[in-house]
This record gives sequence, C-alpha cells and structure tokens, in this order.
Amino acid sequence: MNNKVKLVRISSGIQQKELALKVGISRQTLSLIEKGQYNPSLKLCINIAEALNSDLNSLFWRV
Amino acid sequence: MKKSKESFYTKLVRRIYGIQGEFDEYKQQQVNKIGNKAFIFLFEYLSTSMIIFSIFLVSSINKELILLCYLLCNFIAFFIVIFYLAILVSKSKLDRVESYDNDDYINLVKKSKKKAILGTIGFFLVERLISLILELVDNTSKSSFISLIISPIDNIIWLVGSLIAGIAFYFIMLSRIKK
Repeated sequence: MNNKVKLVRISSGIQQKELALKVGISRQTLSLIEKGQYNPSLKLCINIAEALNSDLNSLFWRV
Repeated sequence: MKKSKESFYTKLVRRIYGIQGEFDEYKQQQVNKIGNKAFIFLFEYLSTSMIIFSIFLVSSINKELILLCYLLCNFIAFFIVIFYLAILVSKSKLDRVESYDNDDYINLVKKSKKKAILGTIGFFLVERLISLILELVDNTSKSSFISLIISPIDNIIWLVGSLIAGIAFYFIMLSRIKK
C-alpha cells in the first residue's frame, strides 16, 4: 500500500530512526511501511500519524 | 511511546527465534508465519512417523533397532526445524540489532562481549555436565566421580571447545549489529 509517510517525515525533518523510536517499532519495519511493502495495523497507522503531527487521511488515503 | 513490560511468552518467543531489538507487529507477523510452517512440518512428521514406526514396532522382532531409528529420525527432524527457523529468521532480518549512534554501537558491542563470555561459561558447564553424566552411565574404566570431574584432558578439551564456540558466538552477534 502506497503512502506519504516518507514524504511527511522528510518534510518534518525527522530521521527514520527517530520516528521508529518514537512510535516503538524497528527501523526495518518503518522502512518497509514507507516502501509500501508492509501494511501496518490501524493502531500503528494512528501512532505514526500522531508522531508526525499529521492525520490518517493525509498519510494513507489514496496516494 | 511508553514501553510496556515484556510478558514471559514474548521473552520465550524472542529467545527461541533469536529476535533482537523491538518486537513490533511486523516481527510478530513474521514469527507467526515461520512458526506455522514449522508446526505444519512437525505435525505431518509426527503423525506419519508415529503410524509408520508403530507398524514396524509391532511387526518387527528387533524392537530396539526400531526405537533407535525412531530416536534418530526425531533428532534429524529437530535439526531440520532448527536449521529452517535460523534461515528464515536471518532472511527476514529479524535477528538484526539496530544501533542509533556511535555510543549505542559501542554499548551493543560491550553487551555482545558480555553475552559471549556468559555463553562460553554456560556452554562449558552444560557440555561438561552432559559428558560427565554419559561417562558415569557408561563407566567402563570404573573411574570415580571425582576423577571424572577433575580429569584434566576432558576439561581442557571442553574448555577449548567452549572458547571456540564463544568466539564464534561473539562474531555472529557482531555481524548482526547494524549501524
């Protein structure tokens, strides 16, 4: 599933490892999510959106 | 995000699969997939081998040989599963340790050294205990318990073996640390 996580993260000036640590996942998992190779659960999507000060629509809805 | 305390089950899963770092939902999903495949193999193997060896055991005169074959087959199946788990865990990169900066890397290397030393001591004690029990059970030379414990040749052989295993373990752990 394509998403805008990487785009929003870079525009917020947050490093991958920083976001991973904040959300409580490994860098490997975050990298897979950004590449669209792993579909995260709704709970994880919300955590990522909160950590990026964004919302689910802007991050995950029909990219 | 606050870290919740790991349950005994999670600790057990991490230990058996050799999972390092954060045990997040992706890793849990991968572990479930790997575990299910291993379970299907073991289930098929156990049900088939039980039926086959039961038939052999009933019909054969040499029952001891049949039981020995069954034991050997179980050993082989066990090692196949271990080997399979190790390959899949490594392929899914579940055993990688992520270091966030230089200090973290140095800390992880220190932890690896400590684990390797403890592993070496543990390996030596366990192997020594197993060899001691085997020697006591099959004591053809009629040696005493004390002489078996302090046997210098045995101790040196197992110490060297444990050191080699410990060094190998340390380098494996180092290779898993990702900068």
